Amino acid sequence: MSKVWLIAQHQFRQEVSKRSFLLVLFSLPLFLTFTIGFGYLASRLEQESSTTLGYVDQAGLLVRTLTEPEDDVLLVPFETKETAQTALETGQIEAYYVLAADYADTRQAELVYFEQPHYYATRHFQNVVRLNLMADQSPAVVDRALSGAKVTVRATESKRNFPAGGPSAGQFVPLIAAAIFTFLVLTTSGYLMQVIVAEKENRTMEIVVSSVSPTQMMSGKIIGAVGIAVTQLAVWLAFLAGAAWLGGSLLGIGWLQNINLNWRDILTIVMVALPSYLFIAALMTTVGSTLVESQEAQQAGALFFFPLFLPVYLVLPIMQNLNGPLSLGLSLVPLTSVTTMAIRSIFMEIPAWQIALSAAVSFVSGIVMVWLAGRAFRRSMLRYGQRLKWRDLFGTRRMGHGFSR
Amino acid sequence: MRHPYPTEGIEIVMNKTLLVMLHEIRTTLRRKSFTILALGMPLVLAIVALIVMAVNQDASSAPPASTGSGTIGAARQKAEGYVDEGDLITVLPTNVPPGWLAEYPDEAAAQTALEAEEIAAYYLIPADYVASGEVTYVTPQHNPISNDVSTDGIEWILLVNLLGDAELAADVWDPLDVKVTALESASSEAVEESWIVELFPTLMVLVLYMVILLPASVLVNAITDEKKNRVMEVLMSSLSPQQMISGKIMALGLLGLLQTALWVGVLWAVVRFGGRPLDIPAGFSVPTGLLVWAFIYGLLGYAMYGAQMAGLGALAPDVKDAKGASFVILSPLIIVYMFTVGILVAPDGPLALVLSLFPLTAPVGMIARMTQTTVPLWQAVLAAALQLLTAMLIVRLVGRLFRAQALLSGQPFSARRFLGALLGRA
Repeated sequence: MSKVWLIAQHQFRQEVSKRSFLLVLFSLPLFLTFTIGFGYLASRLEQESSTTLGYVDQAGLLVRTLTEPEDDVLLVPFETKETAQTALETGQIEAYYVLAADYADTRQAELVYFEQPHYYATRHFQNVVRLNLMADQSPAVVDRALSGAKVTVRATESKRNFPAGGPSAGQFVPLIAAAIFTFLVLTTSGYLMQVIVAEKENRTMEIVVSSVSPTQMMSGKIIGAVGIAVTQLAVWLAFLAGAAWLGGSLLGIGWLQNINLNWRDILTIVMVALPSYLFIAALMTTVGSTLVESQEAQQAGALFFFPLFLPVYLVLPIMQNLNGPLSLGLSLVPLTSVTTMAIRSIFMEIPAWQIALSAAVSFVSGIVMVWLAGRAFRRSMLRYGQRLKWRDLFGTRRMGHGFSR
Repeated sequence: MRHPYPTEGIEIVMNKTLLVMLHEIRTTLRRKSFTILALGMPLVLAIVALIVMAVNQDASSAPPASTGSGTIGAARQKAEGYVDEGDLITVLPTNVPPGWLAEYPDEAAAQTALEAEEIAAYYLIPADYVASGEVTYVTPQHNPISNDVSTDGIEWILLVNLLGDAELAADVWDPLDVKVTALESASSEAVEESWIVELFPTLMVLVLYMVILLPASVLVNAITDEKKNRVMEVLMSSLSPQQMISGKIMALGLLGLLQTALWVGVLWAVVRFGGRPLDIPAGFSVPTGLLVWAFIYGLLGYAMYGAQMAGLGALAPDVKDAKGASFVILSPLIIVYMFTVGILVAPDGPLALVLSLFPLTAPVGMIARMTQTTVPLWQAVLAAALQLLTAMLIVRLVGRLFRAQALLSGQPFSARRFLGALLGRA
């Protein structure tokens, strides 16, 4: 075990001391900061540009206006429809309403525009009409009637609460964790695929296996790779926690202020992700052993994109039938289990036996794959410039004089 | 400095450049990794996408789990209950279907009825409803996707009881019977809001990135391969560095255009034949001028970045050594990507102007601007001219890297060596 640990430590130190590791480490945080930050800035810039609506109150209803409008909508009264039309044509207003003289009996109104105004502008005007209709009501009743009810759906069998009928920000945290996991696999895939190839190119394989067995060698390298992935993950999670605090406390982003974490769901993802990553790391290492050049190894890593994203492509049938065969099957396959579990956990509490089974399948598969990676390493020896074929990996190897083992 | 190569006629120069180009095209097409990535991946993606769309279409066409109606007074399909902790509901409006709603004294009683399947769900209205507005809808199962919950009925009942007047409540619920008059503007062509109108600027930017980056990354590999095979120095006895670089850049530029065309074609085929038509609104079209400028800027952008990547390939002993440095070379493109939102929101602002004229960011910056506003012709021409000059300068500078001592040194790559070689000091 100490040799495996030595190799793992060496692999870890060698990789994290590279400048490229730091680049990858800070790539996700920087990318998210700029993309989301500028997206937020752009949406704030758009919202801050106010909308001006005109109105012609032929019914004499609109005496009061909203004192604390939530939206930046300016209402301008006009005496006649003609003056409002002139203002529209000169660009002073974006649209105007005409409340008919017999509004009290018919509720009829006309909306005139060149380009349809934003829905929040028309909603604002409707609220002003409502406010004036409820002139005799108490302020508390008026507030409640204008704001409406805040309905939370509580699903007793799946043990989930859905504010306003949909998932809350906190319920998306497992999905964000799964997205980070996928990003982690993709960023480390190239490196993992090159583990054996690099040893081949350096011509050091045979020297190393004079001191350790191939399985010990591969186990150490894979454990080192898992350690690197965990380090990356810890930094990214710390960054995300900081960004959530910054967004909620300083920037006042509403949905970041009310994140209620469900630790059971997060633990579910962790329990499934760790053995899955072990399996994926060992699989990539084994596949990399069949290749000859580092460049090929890097390109082949991109092919893992497809199975990892399969649950995302099939999100609709998964959500339609959370306990169906498709959802259950994808929850057990190591390559798709993390993302599928994350999607399902948004809408239901995943039974403990499914979590345990998925983790067990991934762990056992990972052990088998580590053994296979050791076999690939052993069979790659003295094959410089040669591709290790799959039949050589899985079949028996013929020695000279007709003997095989 | 004595020119190391004999003086050649323009025809011979062009022939050699074309020879390099044709050879590079043949070699790249024969490479398995290129065939898999350039041709295989789009086809595999198309097949996967079509299968997934077929599966998703089956799922979305399945009948909804419940026929809950959103209209007030419509017949409810299932019996429901409510627990009114604040005794707010004193009367049920006359348009409430009989037998739909039953009152329960407390939550325990309602839960018992739910478990006994006497009711399909119940509403929990707290005593502080007027202040908090909170209502809980308790149901055994809920799928937000099928949207099987409609709370219009209970909200209507609450409004009637809050205001104490059903007629007033009806007016407040739906205050306006609006007749819309949409006038036609003389200046603008009204185009229906659609996904393609919203996404068009981003799609154009992404296509440009593909045109520039895909072949540029292949160029690094092409150069390093020839270095490893020791073919480079043999070639240098017959070709000038400019001929070699120009031939390779042209070859991989053409192959990059082929790759991009394949990806765009596959995407179109998937959307066209995937069971959901493109749903392009009437009046939407891609301006021809924009396409022409996108083509020009794509080629110029590739020339600038391809030449830099070729220089990187010339100096780095191996392709993996070039990884970190390629990030630095591509950083202007990364920067302009991060500021794309700023360009789209304020296409005539100072940020957009700078990013659309600075040569290294102009290929993407200018196209992003053009999707949002009418860019003056002189600015478009100026940006193209600056890019062309920059590309020519970079190709000349990179040519200095293709010298024997730089190619054969085998020293590890560093930014200082790269810059020194560009300036002729290595």
